[in-house]
Amino acid sequence: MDSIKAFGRKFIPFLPFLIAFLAVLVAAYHIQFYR
Amino acid sequence: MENPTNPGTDSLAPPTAGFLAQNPLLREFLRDQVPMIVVVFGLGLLAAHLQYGFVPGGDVAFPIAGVRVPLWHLVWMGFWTGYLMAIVGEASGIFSLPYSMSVLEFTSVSVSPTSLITTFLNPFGALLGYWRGKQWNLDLALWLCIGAILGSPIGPFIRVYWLSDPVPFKAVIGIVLFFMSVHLWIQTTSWYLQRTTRQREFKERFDKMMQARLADGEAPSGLPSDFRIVTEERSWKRLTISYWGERRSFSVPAMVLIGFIVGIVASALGVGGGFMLVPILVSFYGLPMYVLVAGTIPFVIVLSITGLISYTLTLPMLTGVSIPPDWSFGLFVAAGAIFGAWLGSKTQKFIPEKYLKSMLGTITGVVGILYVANYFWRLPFQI
Repeated sequence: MDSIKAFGRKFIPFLPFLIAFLAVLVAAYHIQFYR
Repeated sequence: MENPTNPGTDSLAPPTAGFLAQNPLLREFLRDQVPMIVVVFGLGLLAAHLQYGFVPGGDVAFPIAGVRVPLWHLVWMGFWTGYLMAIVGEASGIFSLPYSMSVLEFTSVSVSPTSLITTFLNPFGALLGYWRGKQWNLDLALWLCIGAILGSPIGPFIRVYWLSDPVPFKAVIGIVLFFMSVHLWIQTTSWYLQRTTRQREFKERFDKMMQARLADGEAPSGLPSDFRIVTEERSWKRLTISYWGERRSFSVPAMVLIGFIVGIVASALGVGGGFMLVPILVSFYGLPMYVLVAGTIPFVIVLSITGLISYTLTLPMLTGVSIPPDWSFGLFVAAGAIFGAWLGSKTQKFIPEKYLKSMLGTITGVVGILYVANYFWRLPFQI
């Protein structure tokens, strides 16, 4: 459990950048298949 | 009856109780956020049935929005806009609105009241936490909210009579995005950081206390038990508050005027107004984020509901023009935004703000310039 928490702490600073990257991918997917 | 494998605990107690006791954030999420997210998503399904008789999505277009978009995409849009904006300390509407228009192609006037549904519901998850943490002062919120009540009914008329066409509307959104980009970039400069030394000292004192809480196994986002935002002086002219040894004074007419102007602009666009109110309260009054939420969160809720009432009731009654929001669209986005805003507020302290603000400042700046440029020259691509 502690190792998961430690990994989480290290991962959190990258989370907004990962989310922003995924947002761009999902937007591209939508433009390609739903418009 | 004592638990033989873990002396000192009750063997009859469910095993999850101990697990949740050791994970206060998970407990808070399950207790406060999950019920709210489930209820708002359920309201979205109910609203779809009541408004259309079916649930729109990826196969069948949302009739008012006029777009096909899967429900998961709406929840995802709410999540990421709510998350990123909670980290930089402003409402999610200013991100979700351009995304709805440019990516989802929801460009009718109804996008504004639909966005107000999200900005109305989005802060409730955070509001619960702030109320429990005593980050609450009705006197601070009152005059801003009165300004919002006076100003936000005017915005929808501006939207319908002067900004109903998507191109000039996007140009105005572009100006707002550019303003926000400049604000985000300024926050990364050493000049700004030196200028806000007092706020930084307050934050450092606060962060030390947070570390102590973490070491004790408590939730890092909690506040000290002695934290209060206390009203020192209250009159028609002046309001003075104090919090944790700090003291701030406000002119009441100025607070009402700020709420009024932000109310007009925000309801005309269909956003919560945090993008204007937060910089004003930080720059002019030097309020730290932990305190200004006591004013901005109730302000965004009041502004959104009065703006929504103006779009759905006042505007049709006075002009005969009906601008219905797409209730289900807004509620599905809100379900994701509640979770995103909560997660953002809990992880904010661990995020390298400088890089994030630079990145978001660049994106909002580029989109803002393109929106404004598209008004003067037809761009070779669709935006």
